[in-house]
Amino acid sequence: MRETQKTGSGHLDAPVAARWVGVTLGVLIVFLLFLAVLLLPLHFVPYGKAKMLFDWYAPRHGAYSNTRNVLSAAAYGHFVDRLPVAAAVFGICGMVLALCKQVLGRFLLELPADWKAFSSYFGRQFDKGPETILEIASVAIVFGIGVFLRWHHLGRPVCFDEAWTYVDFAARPLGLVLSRYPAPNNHLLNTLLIHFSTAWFGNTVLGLRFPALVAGCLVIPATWFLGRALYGSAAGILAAGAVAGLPTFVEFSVNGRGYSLQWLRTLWSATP
Amino acid sequence: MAPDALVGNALIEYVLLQRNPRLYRALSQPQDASRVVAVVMKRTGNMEICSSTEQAAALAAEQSASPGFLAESLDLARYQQPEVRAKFLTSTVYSLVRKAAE
Repeated sequence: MRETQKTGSGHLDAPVAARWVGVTLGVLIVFLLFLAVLLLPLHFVPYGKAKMLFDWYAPRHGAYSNTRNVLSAAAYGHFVDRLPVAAAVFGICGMVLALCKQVLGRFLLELPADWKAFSSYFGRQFDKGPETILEIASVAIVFGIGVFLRWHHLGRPVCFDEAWTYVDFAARPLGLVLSRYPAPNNHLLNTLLIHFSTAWFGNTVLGLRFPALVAGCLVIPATWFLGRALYGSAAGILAAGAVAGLPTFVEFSVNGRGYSLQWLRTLWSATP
Repeated sequence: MAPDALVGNALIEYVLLQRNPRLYRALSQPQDASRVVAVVMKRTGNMEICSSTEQAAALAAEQSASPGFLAESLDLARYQQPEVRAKFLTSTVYSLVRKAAE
């Protein structure tokens, strides 16, 4: 009789997990190839029909944009010209995924065990007894000061790049938010988050800056965590204090752009 | 009714959108408009290393922003002579009406 094996997560038998991973990857491959096949004929849809569809779609799905949703002939041209490239990219991704399905499947099956090791490492960072309470209290105070400073400066006048981000990208329908990249000014993840935060908070400075504000606040504990892991408690608190109070960090944490998200991602990547 | 349009920069559009979204939505694309209000910024070169006082002096030295900069957004040949509506330290507001033949 086959002996049941537990995966790293402890929830699924290894064969069941392998089957799920196989099915998921199979669905993803089919989806990518389907997208590739779908995008090619869209390349031949004439401007008039595309505009008719856009005029129907935009007011419904861009309701919180409060902006002009106009599909100009130039924008249509840019979009349509890229469709064959997008179809090729999706097609290649689907084929590469099909070729590497076995290898990727094995990698994904090993992830839970890796995650367990990471969790164990994370837990060890806080396993230092009484010192930790004082340290965490210090970091909490530093974090509180950082949040206060950021909140205090949240109402600063909107800058040109923030306005551009909102008017030209975030306020547009979701499809355009993610597919329009005429300049590196469009920080895609930030724009996407602003799209949702302005839907929630309205077209206000809080809505415009909420993703940057949250990331800018989270950078403080992330800096502490990284500094602590690399150079010890004192270095961690000192670094967190610098990030909390230095004007540049405060300024970019209340700037509705992707910079504070980038810091957070960098710190996350650098964490051992 | 003839469509109106605004030509400005992202900041001006953002403020209008925030203060009066209905008006902003009612505007058309500049190239389709019969009447255009344009906010033209003065261009005094790169002033990143200048102090605020130096920047203000450089801006004040120019009487008004050149309407020629509008050529980037509009086909000026299709419009009558731009009329100055307001002058500010950093910008000049013009209004333009499309020529009758159009």
